[in-house]
Amino acid sequence: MQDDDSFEHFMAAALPGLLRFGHVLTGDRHRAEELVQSALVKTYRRWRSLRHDQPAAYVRRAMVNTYTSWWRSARREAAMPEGFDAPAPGGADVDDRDTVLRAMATLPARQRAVLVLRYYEDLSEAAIADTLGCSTGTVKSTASRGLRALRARLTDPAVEGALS
Amino acid sequence: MSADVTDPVEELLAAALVGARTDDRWAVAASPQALTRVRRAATRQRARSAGLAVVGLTAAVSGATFGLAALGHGGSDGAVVIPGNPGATTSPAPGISPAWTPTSGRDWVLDKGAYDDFVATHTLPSDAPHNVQSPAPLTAYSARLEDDVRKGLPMGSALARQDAVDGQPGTAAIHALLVDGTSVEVTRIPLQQPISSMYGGDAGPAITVRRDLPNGSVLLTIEHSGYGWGPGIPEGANTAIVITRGGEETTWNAPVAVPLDTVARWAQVAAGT
Repeated sequence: MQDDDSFEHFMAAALPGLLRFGHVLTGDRHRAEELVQSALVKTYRRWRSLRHDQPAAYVRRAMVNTYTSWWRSARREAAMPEGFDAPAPGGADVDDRDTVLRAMATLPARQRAVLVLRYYEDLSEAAIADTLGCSTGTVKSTASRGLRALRARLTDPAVEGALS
Repeated sequence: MSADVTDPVEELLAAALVGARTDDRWAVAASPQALTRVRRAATRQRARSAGLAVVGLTAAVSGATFGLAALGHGGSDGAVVIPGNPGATTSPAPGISPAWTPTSGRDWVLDKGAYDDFVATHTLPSDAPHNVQSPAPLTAYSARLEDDVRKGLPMGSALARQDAVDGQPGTAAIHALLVDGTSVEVTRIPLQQPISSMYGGDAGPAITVRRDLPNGSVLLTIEHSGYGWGPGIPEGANTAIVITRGGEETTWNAPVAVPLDTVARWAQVAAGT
């Protein structure tokens, strides 16, 4: 079936990137797999109409919205992936990066999603707003709150894991 | 946007997330079964949501028929397919154009080629939007399923009812725990369109038609079908399905430790044959 073939090609090309995005978003490789599968099922069911209309953006939107929904309903906390407790390969700079990612894992899902879309996906505020279904003003304020929370965690010497 | 970064923490975060694009620690290996799982899950969801329009249409048509009778206008000319009623008259399934009339449970299961032809040549009802209260109130639909399941499973099994499975009204599930600790899940949905015998798409698994039942239903089995996905959820289950002439599908899932014949027997006994 032609639709099936084109979906298979799309999935083969997009899957590694989607899994990595899911991993960064959730901090957990199993949740990432679950998230990607859930989004791809939705995509597959709408493939006939989506195939010519940026399906990757649709998958990403479904992943982010499912993730924030999970967080709301179950208060699942994001975590750092396995291997991040060991010294990072690359020295002090990378250790600092790991520290900031560890701090980001403690943020609420929506703040985390905005920051990941902004810096990992390099999306514009308008594109993030479109992904999350909110205004650009909300994107700005959510990012601002997330960064403020990160600053508080990382610069307070009383907080474990603060930057030295 | 990242070019505007001036704050040290923001700068560090941006560098960390840019680094995550290539850092192997963030890579996740894709499962070779990923495509099959997606197709299988989509097939299940499609079948589930497909049932919704049938419920709505049936209720509307039944209500209209009842209203006419109550007003003394006599019976309706149009017979109604009533999901779950094995004695329902054979008439076109609602919402499918050109008209399609199943005459037995077996008619709802098409081989891959016939299914593709059917989908290509028929207009099928769209999924209806659905809102359900959470938790979904228990209904007579799940009560009837519980009665049926109790007939099929061994004595002493503990049963829990659920309506609106996955948030879809008009569906029901029974979560059973056998005396030996085995978990069994039974779901019931009204189908809105025929299903493909290739349960998980081209890659399978395939549905096996076991037998036609005396009441017009059909008994199907799937060996080692998908049972779910995600951490801690075992892959593989033995599945038996009964589809009535009216298109009501009842699916029995049990761990692979339960022989397929046993699951099929439970399903058949519960179907009243």
